[in-house]
Amino acid sequence: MRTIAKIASLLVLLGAVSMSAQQQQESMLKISGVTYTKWLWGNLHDRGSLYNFTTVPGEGAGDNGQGTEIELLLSAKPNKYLEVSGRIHSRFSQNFWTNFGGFGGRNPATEEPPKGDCIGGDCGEYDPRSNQYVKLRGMTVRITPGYKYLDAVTFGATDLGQFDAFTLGKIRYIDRDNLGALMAQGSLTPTFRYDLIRASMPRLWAGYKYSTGPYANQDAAYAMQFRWAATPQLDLTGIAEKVSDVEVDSRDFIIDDGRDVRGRYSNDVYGIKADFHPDGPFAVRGAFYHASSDPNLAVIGESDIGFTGYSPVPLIKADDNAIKLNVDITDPFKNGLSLNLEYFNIGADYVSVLAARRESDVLMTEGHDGTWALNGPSNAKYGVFGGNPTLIGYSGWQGNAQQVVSLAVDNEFTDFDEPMAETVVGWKGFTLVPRWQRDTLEIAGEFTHIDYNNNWQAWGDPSRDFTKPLYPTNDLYTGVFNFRSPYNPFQDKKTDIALIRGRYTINVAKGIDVFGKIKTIQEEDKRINDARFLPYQAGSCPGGGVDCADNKNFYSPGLSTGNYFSNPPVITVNGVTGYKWAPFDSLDDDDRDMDYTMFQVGAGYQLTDIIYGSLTFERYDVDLKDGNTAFQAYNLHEMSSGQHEKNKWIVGLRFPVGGAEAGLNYEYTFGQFEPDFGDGFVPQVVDDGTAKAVGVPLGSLGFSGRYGNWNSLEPRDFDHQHLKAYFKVRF
Amino acid sequence: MLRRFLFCLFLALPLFAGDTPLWVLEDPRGDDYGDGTLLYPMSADFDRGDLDLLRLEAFDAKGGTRFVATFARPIKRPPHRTVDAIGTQLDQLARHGFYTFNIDIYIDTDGVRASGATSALPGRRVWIDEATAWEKIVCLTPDPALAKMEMKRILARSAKQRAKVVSDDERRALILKADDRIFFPTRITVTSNRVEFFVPDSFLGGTASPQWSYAVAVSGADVVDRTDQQGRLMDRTTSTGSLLILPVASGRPIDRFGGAAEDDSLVSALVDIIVPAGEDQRKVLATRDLEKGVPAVLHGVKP
Repeated sequence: MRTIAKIASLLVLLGAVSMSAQQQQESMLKISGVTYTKWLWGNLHDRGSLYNFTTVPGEGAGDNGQGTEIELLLSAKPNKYLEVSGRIHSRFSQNFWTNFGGFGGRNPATEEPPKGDCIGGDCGEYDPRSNQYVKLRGMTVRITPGYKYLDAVTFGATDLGQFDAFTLGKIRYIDRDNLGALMAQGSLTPTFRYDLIRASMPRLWAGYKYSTGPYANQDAAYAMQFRWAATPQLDLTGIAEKVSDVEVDSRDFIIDDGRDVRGRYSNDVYGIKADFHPDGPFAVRGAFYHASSDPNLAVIGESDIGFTGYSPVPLIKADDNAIKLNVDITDPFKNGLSLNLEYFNIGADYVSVLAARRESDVLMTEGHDGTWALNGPSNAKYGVFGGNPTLIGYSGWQGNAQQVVSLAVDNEFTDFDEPMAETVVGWKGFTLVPRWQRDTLEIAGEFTHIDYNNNWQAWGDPSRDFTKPLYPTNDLYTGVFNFRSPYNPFQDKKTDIALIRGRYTINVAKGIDVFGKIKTIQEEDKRINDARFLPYQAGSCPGGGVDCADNKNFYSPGLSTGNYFSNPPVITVNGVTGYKWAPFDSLDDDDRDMDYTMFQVGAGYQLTDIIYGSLTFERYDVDLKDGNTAFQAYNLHEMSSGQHEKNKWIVGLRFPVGGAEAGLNYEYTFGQFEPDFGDGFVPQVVDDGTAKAVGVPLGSLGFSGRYGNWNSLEPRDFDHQHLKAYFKVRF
Repeated sequence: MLRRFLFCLFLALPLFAGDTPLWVLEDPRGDDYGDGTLLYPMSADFDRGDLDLLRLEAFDAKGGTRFVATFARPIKRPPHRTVDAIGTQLDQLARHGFYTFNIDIYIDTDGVRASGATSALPGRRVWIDEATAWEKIVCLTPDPALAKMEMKRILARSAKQRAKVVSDDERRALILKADDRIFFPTRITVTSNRVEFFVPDSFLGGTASPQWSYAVAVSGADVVDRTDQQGRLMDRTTSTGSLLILPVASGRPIDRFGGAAEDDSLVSALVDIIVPAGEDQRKVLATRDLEKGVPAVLHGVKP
């Protein structure tokens, strides 16, 4: 204690710290960094990369491996008017420790015949994703000229964080700041501020079929935004955005006078927002957006997207609105009870290609849960065909979904412990959220009713072949949930979400946090609701081992759903004769009716001054009717009709210590799916090849669908584990 | 289902009533502008009014004092949003229901001029008037465990800079002393536009008295400083020597408060402070001497 007295008192030290911070001067160049080490383990033993999920062709995903990233952060302030910053960042990707530094490996450039994509680091030094490459990221120059009406000019990387999720939103794709832009910001009066931006369009995805065409260099979005603090209680925001994707005009082959360009795609979005927050318990916020999306079919050269097409914009000239109105009633009775109401109406044709793709949450509702993400019972898409196993695993993602108003909703390169984003294009309805809080007890509820602007028959245009849509189907909405398929050929859907959740801290020792939730989702979709869209005329399949007659039902001249939902052949299995699948002869055959219940309970505790641990149990019971064997999940996906029971144990630990942080998330998910695909068909026995291809027991029962795709009739037991541990150090 | 839901809501309406505070400190609405020039970051995490403190109340509670701070707008809840390259979620970092602000309360318990300290928490760039020099600090921050650890780290580093060698015993003594002087509440409840936090009598030496003076300052919280640098123009070293406070810069950045004059090394990032009757917050925070390196001086207020 004598020496400590010599050092100084605590108070003097605090003063010294305080002054040193005050007197800190900018140096010419500062370098700091972060390193991340990730350890993934899972009993699927996938090895594609150090992320759990991707659907990007040629990329890998996996649940096993160890790897390290480094991020060097550079910044400088050459003079009072200039700031420069940037990052040099390596990538987890396929950089496993087991690559031994990324040497050797197969060289895909010399392979004849090609042996396929580089996955799991097997291309070593011949693939940047496995040879520890580093990339320039976030390079930005910011000029603050000191002019009256101009605060700053910024060029380089941006995450668009200053705009909004309906127009120019966050568009993380591994990094958040990949977008290059030129931006000016300033104020015309102290209460009227503006932002102007010219952002280069990401060629990787920001256009029809995730492309901006071969001539991408000139593609850009231009936007202006103003924010006006009209009164102390009223804020107004206006935004206008214009996206221009052009191509070199192939018809202009005489280049002596240069070459012409013509538009491939344009997207105009306008919005106005008002935020009225007077004294007292009431506040109102409103937002109105209008978007027009215009692909140039002459340049794109396609007449439809295809029935399994993926695209962040439809192939139509689309005009639509998005409206949101929020009323917040904050503790009006001074007893801790508050109420939030939200009305939302997102047009089916509201297309904003640069709207937030994730990491935003445009609606108040919890929405769906991340554990059910893709079509099959275990989150596989196209799982009825060989080679399409589950992508994120049976466990899916943790927590509830975030809602984004983007057709390019994106969950790529994420791990199971991150949130899932879902698109809300087409949603209309309302949400009520009452919340009551007293001391450390918080109880909140939610009721949300969702109707859909994209409830239509044959895409709303019966004059077209429904298998040649102008809207992207993405995966199609089948199974318990799908996060990215707002457009389906036949939809008559409504959804109700209700939940109650609570949180309480028991004042024992350091305080035990206990929490829980009960949630239910009732969702039904009649899909085909008009008999003229049934594939065949009544009585085409008489039963009794008699072949079906080819009496197609035409909803428009020459157009019949029977071209896609064909009648079954007659087969005999083990002496039983009947149809290979049920004939599609009723409006009920494709109906969807989901009764979903989720229960969660957990506790968290500050184990030491710095270690926080939590244990959570979740139980999901889903009684799902999602069409029968006539519908076959649009012939493309595993059928999910039946009883789903899923259980999750989640252990979380977080351990921040002196500029570093360690963490662990372990998840054990187990459950069962009991199929109920209806009747009217003869169960078949799987052959060896199919059993191995789709992963079902040899000799088990199922049925072979229209494309030879296999749906098993056997109960499925799931038992998946995931672990992610990390260590993060600042330096 | 909706009718059942509304019925349950109706049944819950008449529940519970409020109680009487020990004391109240009021603050005007619409003064969340620091020295008058401060602008909120352009990030969607902040809206005007979010850090506008209207009232600080103290209530007697079993074993301590329950403070209740009321803001002009509902407090933003930490979203379940990935904030770094490893997948950390913001609501994991900020577990107590808020993530955008800190509230510092410098408490002068003895009322004796120049008895106590006049320095503020790291990064605040203010001093406390020696007439109300503090004996205790309560710092409400979204990640109290981290703040506590960072505070000790900053103090230990400062001690080392001054003494060159600091033994483990000395470091432990320093940490104990910090615990005696600075408290980071962990029993926190957020209700719409109010945040309640509990401070035990064992720290304050009794229930928060209306005879004491309180210098109260609200600042932006920098909970993701140590995690997410993507999309941030601020260099990481800016925060060295700062305790989870969002700094201020010129222009209007996304990641910091804006509006500061160029080369003003003493501009404070405090957004809202409670000032004594008759004083103007703008004047208090704008009064700083760049030549002498003297920052703005906050005055404690008696309820």
